[in-house]
Amino acid sequence: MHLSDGVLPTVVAVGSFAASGLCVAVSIKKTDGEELPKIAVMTSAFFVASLIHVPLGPTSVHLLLPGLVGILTGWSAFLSIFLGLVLQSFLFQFGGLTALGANGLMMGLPAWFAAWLFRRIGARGATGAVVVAAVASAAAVALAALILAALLATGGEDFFGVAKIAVAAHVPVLVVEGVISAFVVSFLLKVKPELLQHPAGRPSP
Amino acid sequence: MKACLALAMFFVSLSCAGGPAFGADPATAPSQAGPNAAVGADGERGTGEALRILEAIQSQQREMVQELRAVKREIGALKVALNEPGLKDIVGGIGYILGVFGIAAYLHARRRHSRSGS
Repeated sequence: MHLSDGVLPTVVAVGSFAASGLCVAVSIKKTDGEELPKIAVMTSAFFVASLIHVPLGPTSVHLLLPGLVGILTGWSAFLSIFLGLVLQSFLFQFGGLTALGANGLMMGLPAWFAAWLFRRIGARGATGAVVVAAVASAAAVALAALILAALLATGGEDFFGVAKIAVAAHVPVLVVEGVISAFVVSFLLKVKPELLQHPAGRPSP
Repeated sequence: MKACLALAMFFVSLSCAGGPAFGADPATAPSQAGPNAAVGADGERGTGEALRILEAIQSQQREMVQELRAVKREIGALKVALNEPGLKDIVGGIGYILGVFGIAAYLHARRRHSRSGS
């Protein structure tokens, strides 16, 4: 789910760059310096995850992991994902350079959404946290597909048609990511629960 | 060059000598059916051989087309494989990420250090 060069109208591409830049600025502002190592690891995970392909009939879709990145890094997720996308674009030729802003919005906003959802209702019990993590990750993928459809709709595509196809194509990814997030969160809750919590003095998103 | 010219002259003289000989003797005309039939059989044999050669060429061409298709498919697969990121790209990307965050962490630590020091 990467937009390529020349798919979006110029105005939309420039606008999404501006919006992405704003989001990155907010993300940097809210990032706690003590958390940088964790963010670096999550960025690397996000960067590599796109190489893991889930076979789907004749074609295949790859993992996206915005939900997991959001759950683990909170506000810093946008920064993390944007950096990951920049490197994917340079090194893997995934998504065009001019569409980088749009791709950042498409992956970053769902990450923030997942972070918000997890922090809002996930911090109750261990089982609840795992379930909420799975749901948040799946919802993040679905939201990314919807943002993709909305962005393409600005280029003259039919929103509901694209949305239907994009969501349908990502149902396997959605399921796999939900399962992965559930496993990761349940593991972290046992091994290092403080990774899932906020350092003191920072407002939860 | 001179030898070629001599050879050509020889053939021309031969045909000139043979031409009138056939035409001049009417008695030999009926008997020409024999050699003509022989020529026909020869022609049939020639045609058969030509057909065989044609078939051979055609089957060879079919094989070539198939092989060419296989090669083209291989080239296409190679192109796709070339575009796929390799281990170098992955490790390089992770290195970039760790480097960028390392610099950020360093700046953060330095700022904190100078703040606590002053």
